[in-house]
Amino acid sequence: MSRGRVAWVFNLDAEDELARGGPHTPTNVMRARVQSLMPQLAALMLAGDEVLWPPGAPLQHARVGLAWCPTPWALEQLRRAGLEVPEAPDPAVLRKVNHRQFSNDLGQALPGARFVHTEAALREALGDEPVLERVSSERNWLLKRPLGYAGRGRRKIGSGPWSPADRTWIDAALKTGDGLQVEPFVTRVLDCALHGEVTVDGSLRLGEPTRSIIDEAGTWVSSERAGPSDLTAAERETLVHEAQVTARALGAAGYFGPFGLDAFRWRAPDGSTHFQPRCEINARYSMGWAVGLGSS
Amino acid sequence: MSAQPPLPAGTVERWAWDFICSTDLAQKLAPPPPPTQWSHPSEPHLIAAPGRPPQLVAREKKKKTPKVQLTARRAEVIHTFLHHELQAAELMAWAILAFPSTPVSFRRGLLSLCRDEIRHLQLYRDHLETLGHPFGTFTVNDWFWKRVPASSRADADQAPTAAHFLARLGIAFEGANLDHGARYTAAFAAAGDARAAEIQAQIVEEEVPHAAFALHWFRELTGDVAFETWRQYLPAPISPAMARGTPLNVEARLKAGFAPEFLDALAGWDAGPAGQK
Repeated sequence: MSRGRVAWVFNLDAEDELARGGPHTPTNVMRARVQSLMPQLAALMLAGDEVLWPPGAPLQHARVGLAWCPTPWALEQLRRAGLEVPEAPDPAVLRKVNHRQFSNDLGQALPGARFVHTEAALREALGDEPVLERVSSERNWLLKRPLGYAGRGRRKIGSGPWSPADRTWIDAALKTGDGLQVEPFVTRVLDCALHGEVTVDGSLRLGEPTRSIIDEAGTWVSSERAGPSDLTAAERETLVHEAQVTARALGAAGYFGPFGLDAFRWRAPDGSTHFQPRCEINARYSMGWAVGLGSS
Repeated sequence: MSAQPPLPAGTVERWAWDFICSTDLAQKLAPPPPPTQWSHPSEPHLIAAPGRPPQLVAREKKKKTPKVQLTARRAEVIHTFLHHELQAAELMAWAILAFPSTPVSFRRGLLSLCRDEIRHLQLYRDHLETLGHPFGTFTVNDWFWKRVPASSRADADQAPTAAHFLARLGIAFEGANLDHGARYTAAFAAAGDARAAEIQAQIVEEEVPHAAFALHWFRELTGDVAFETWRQYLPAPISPAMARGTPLNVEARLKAGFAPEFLDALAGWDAGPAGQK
């Protein structure tokens, strides 16, 4: 990475802002959460970089701002601090490309996965028991809200009757009219990612595949460069190709900036393993971005 | 059609082959779930025509679509739509076999779309039964089969290409279905058939991503999704006039990713030189 010194806004709750639209104020809990992640986020910072948000020491040298995701709130923080605000995609574009519908439109890759908007369609998807039996060792489905992050906005659900808590969660999710990603809950045996950057002129810079450590709730814990034995040659090739396709789709949608593509290897109940080359598109910085793009 | 499936059992490709070639009505309407394994054959397998169960009687000529106020006529329309969904599902499976050198994520997407089409035909099937006219009551016309494989190529003596297939089935026909589907949602509701209207609305909504998928992959394969580029991938006598309903469902099409300029050109196609119908 080479650029001048910047002041960062680490708005890790960007998806919340994009989901709600309108005015945004990060919660105190979110601020504390981001502060606790500063040791890991420091990987994105170059020597001399400073942090505007979460607030800490006053800025010393930085004249230019940079955001985790250039949402209206993040850009406003940069403006208020008198920093040069970088060119950024339109907020509607940010919302579109980070929305799971965007990934759905590139094609679902996991058997039985669908993006639904209504309870009827959801029930229909959850009724696909023959597929669930072949794919999910736990015989569970995973529901994902369209603009979730860090394992938030997900719910594991069985194929039987819904519990009251399921009902409440599903009602709240569908009420927004934004839809839900439904996919079988599969046994993941390797989480990985490929990060890159689409420039304003549409050119693409890709990093090296990373291996991610993800906890039970789907939250990122750490990333490291994938070793030669982590991914098979075919998986690596598929992942790179998928990232190239995704980057072109991002560019065509009007997005430019950093992005990450999460992927995983999964094991079916019959013991066979498969590769899911696109489970999340993060059109923003992400925790493993510097690991994949860095020089080390 | 080969009597000997050349593809290994237990793979998606063999599943696609079996689904297309089956002459069993139950399997056509409710095939088993596809396997998780892919065989990734190196050579394309081009199936010339689908298997047709004896219950489905073919007609050669296109019929004028009946009005939907009377139950029997409405059932005939829904019967036609069911057969459209069946052909769309079969043609998605056909493309999995026809384009083995395309990216695996494209073929996985085709499989997902194929399964959507199967669900859609099942929605129609169930409703037809409540109307007292199960699938097979009326004659069927393999209109899409007669056109899509044959025109998924630049010239008759050339191999089909995925870009031609997408231009034809995904952008032209599935795009047009967004228009026709919205019109029939209203027509079914006006005829007092709330369930038919509900099914139609659901299918329109779920086919928005199908058109989006086609636009995305057409752009990916050709580098562009402008109207003129797309038109070049529509072999004569196919024209943009066959790729739209009246009126255009602009909202759904924009949601799918059609550019406003594309829709303007599509809507205004009749205004072109004589003969460009």
